[in-house]
Amino acid sequence: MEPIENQKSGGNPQKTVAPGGIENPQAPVLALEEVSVTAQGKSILNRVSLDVQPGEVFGILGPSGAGKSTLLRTINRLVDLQPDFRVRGRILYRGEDILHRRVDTDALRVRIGMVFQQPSVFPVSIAENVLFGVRRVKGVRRSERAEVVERALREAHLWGELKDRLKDSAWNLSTGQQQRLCLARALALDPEMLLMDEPTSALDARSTEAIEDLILGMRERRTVLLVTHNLEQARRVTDRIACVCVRDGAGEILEQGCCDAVFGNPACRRLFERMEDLETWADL
Amino acid sequence: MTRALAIEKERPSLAGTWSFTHDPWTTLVWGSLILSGGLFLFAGATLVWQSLPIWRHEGWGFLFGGEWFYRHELFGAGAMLYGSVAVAAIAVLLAVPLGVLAAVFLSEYLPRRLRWGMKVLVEALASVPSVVYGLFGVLVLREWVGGAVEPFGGWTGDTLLTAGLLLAVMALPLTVTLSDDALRGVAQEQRVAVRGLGLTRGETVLLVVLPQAWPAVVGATLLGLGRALGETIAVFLVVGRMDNQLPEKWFSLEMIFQPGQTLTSKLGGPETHLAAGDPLHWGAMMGLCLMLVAITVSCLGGARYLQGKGRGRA
Repeated sequence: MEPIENQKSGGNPQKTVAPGGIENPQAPVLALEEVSVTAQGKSILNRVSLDVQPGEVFGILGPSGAGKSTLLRTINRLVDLQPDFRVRGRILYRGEDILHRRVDTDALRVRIGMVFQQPSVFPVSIAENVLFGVRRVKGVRRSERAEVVERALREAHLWGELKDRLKDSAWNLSTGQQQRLCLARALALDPEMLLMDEPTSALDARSTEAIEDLILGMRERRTVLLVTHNLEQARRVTDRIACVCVRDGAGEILEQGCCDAVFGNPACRRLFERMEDLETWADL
Repeated sequence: MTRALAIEKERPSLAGTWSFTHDPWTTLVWGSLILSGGLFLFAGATLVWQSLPIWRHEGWGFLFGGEWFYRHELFGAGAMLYGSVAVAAIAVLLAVPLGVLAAVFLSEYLPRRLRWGMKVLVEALASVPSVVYGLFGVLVLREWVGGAVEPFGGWTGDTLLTAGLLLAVMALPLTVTLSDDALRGVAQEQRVAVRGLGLTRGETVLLVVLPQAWPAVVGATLLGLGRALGETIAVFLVVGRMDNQLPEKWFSLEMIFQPGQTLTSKLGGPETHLAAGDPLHWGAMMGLCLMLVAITVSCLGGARYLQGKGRGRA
């Protein structure tokens, strides 16, 4: 893997070293160390630390307002676009601190893709949407375009539905299809890691299932960070989870580990029960 | 049966209770609508009616005829139409690219706080009275253009070019602020989605923001064009006000460097007073009025249509 830092900086990625001083064979692909985020002086995330192993689906669970989306946007530096956001701490991606100011954030976002809560497709055709990023970032030859579109749509479980409508406007698709199209657009860039910010919260049961299948299918090949407030979903698709709570207005990690350990933690269980109560109330 | 009929009679009727006094608020808003619509129709009808003599005298030739000698009862609006179009075209060609680029900078690159300050400043510039811009034109532009047009056979700084440049300066603030509004109208999620794919800020502007804001930007341009075509006093001060300056070929640029006349500078000048006693001459002036209104109203209509289309898409 080439370093993300600009050529000029001559980035020399340091190796992750285990506490004992021996090189760790199962080095985490992503490690957050005491990451705090403030916006206009107000704390949003407080000293968040977590490790994500390569090829796993890592869930982030917590009530709304706990800074889960901000956490994801910090990892691909999309917070840079928001005025007055300050990030402290270290985020090591394959051993490189991506919060360093010399990191090429555009190159970083090619390697760490993202899918948002609300799908936002561009007002062009379905095929053009899939190619939107990849043809500018990696340069796709005209002869290869059809192949790239097919591969991405197949991976997003959309090929069967859309293969005859590739030239139609993407704005005519259903929300569920739009969300999977956004996923295909991100997958076309072949990212090593995918950040998913409550990707199914705006979708019906059928589209939700399709996206969950897709996440399970990506396991091993890509690392996935999935933010969700749906406990059942977390149980179904994630390998490990972190439970985020709100303390003094800022998000903090309450517990992280495998699903059973987190669901077994009494403090987490109380938090989840409260979240479920709130959701039940919202449904009524 | 009789009992049911009795109840029927007691029930108040639901139909036909509206009257002017029953609901004064509705009467007021309807009245205002009818009054303002009526005023517009009245003004339009007056222009048509007052200009009837010239249409009878010159026919359609009035629109493009190149000769205006009122003592010889020759009335052709061609040179003024040419002047208006040329001046407005110069203004739009200069103000739009500059204004749109400035708006992109304002909307996409400037930090939020600075952007707010700049926006207030630009809107303040848009509110400066046109006579002030006109005097600025007399003071600065005329001198400058006078020197610049000499090699092209010009002999004075009062030219169509001067008026066009001045109008560009005047149209710039409005173009900037309206284009900025159009760009801000594009959903922020779209920008974030593009950046999330690893594209740069420049690519985001070129591939997503500008294409989506484009109808509204063109609408803003048309609004500016309508203003430029209707602007009187500033043009009056620097255009030279020379009649019958119609180029031999429609697209030749020679007349740009010469004094000329626009529809507005003619109407704002002393000839309107002179014409008042003579139905034919007065009719010719009203005919110019009618042309001006038709052009500016269609610009405004087009602008509103495109701006609405832009909002619908974003």
